Amino acid sequence: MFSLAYLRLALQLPTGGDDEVFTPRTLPLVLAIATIICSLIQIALPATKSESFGEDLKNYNWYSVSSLILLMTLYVLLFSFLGFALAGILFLMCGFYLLGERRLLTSLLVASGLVLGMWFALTQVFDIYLDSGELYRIVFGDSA
Amino acid sequence: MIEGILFGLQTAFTPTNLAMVFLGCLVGTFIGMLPGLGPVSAIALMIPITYGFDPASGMILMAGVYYGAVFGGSTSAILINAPGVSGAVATAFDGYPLASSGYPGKALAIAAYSSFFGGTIGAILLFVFVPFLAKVSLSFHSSDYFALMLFGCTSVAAFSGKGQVLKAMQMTLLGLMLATVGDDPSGVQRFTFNNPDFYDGISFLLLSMATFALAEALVVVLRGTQAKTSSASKQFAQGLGSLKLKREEVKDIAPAVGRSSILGFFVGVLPGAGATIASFLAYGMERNVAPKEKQQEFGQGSHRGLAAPETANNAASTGSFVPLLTLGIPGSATTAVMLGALLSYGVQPGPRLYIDNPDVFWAVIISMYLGNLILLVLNLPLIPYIAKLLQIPRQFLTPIILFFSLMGVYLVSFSTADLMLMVVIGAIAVIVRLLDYPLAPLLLGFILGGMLEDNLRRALLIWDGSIAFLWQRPITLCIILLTVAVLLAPLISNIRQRRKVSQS
Repeated sequence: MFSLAYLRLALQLPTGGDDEVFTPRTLPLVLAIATIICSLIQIALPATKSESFGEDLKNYNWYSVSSLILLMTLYVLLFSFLGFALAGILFLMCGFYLLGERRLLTSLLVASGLVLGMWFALTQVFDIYLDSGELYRIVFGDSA
Repeated sequence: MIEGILFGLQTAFTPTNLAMVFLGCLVGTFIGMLPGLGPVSAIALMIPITYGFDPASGMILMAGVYYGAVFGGSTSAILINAPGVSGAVATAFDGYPLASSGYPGKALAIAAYSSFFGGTIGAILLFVFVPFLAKVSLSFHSSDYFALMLFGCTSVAAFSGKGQVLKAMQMTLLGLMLATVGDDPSGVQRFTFNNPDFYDGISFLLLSMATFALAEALVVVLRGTQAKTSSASKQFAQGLGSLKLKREEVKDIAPAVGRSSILGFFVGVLPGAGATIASFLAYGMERNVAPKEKQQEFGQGSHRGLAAPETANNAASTGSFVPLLTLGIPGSATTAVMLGALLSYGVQPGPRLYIDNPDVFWAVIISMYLGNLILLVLNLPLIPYIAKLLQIPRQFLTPIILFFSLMGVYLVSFSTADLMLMVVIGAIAVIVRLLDYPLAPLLLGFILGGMLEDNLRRALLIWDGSIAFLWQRPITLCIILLTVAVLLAPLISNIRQRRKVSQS
């Protein structure tokens, strides 16, 4: 399906003039056709998955991984609002909690130590600008 | 050449670059020791840090990280039977039994000495072969380069192991497809969906961090391997014992080290073969050539069984730099990441590197040797302390790895859209890994994609749109035939095996 969608998009790319020997769509078309051929061979070949594969999937820690992916998504969405430091500390604390750490004070100390240490190194030592976040600007004003 | 070597020595021996090698080895050992994070992830994590460095220092740091990570992977294989890298799997066969029988210090020392000699012999061979190959490859035209890129893509797929060739091919093609996103050289936007975030294409750093660092950390959580490693690491909390070797032990392993170094280097030179295949081949070879009574010891903590794969994987790591430095095609996933890093510094690896950037070229080779020396002299005594890292609870470590991966990408692009894309690619990479699709060919296809298209365009323009260069230029024809042979080899061996089965 992916290859077909890619092929469809590749066909919409401009071809250039008649005298052009290599156009922006040349390579994408070749790649789309090659991938379709590979996929058809893959479908035609017998499946080689082991019998225990389904059992393995059931035993995997899906809850933690999907929670971590959701946490990373939230972190990215809230990054501009919360800013580097606050978003980082909250991300790490929630991550620790999701993986079973229940000592909140320890989590807070580890997370804030790491994030603030990194913030200090990046902004004060390497002179890199890090966004302090909308929330910070709302509370302390634009000049802060 | 002598001038170049002196220039390289001058660059490598500056206090900054010496500190880079040491820091690289130390950090690499730390990261490589963590199950799930190998040299590729370690180097990917270093890329954002090295963006502000000059190319030579950046590459020296990465070479140190590479060796450190390979050594760190072996350490966790020996101490807790959890190889941090696939190249250290064969190390665990005899390393873990030797460590479990009360000699963890000795097992680590054999691994370190073997790695050192493997790396030393590899570096000597590198000195001999790289300038020669670089001179030969100067006569290459764009059509030859196109064929070489094609060879690089297919050979990695072909060496991917039984039942993996087709999957690896698909992943290479996917990587090539992802490389077509963004503005093409004529200025036409391809697959950008009118989104300005895609105009410059997908960042190599984003893709490597998402597919390796992020995905590997998530897969470790998914499989729940952290429980196993933390309980196993507790038994070495008391100490590792003596790191010294007896004279007869050295005599026993010396021939194995010599043989495995040469084998490992030449296997490493083959694009796609890499440290894993080299270590397994060396282990198998040593078991076959060992006297009968020594053969019995294999799998029970044999010194030769530990020294052979360790030597070979380090020599292969050195060997894998040959195609990168001379032809500009990476021989492994790690060198693929390094190729991406070099390109981001504005340095084009290949035959011209030897002429245009002799400082980078020679400094990398010299720092590889320095890396081996530092691992032996400084890292080995530190191992008992570094090993305590294995006791850090995974509930802390995994979110920190995720945080550093995300920050690594953010600090280069300062774009939250890139972070979102990274999370999406990371999540897809987890599923792709569960379906047993290798991710290294994806990265390789992505990195080689741009160069492949550029060289194909140039070749077609020179040949007036004809593809006759494929058979009319002898070098191109040779490489194309080699590519076809490499592609057909697994298919032929599969048919042969089926025939044997049906006959029996």
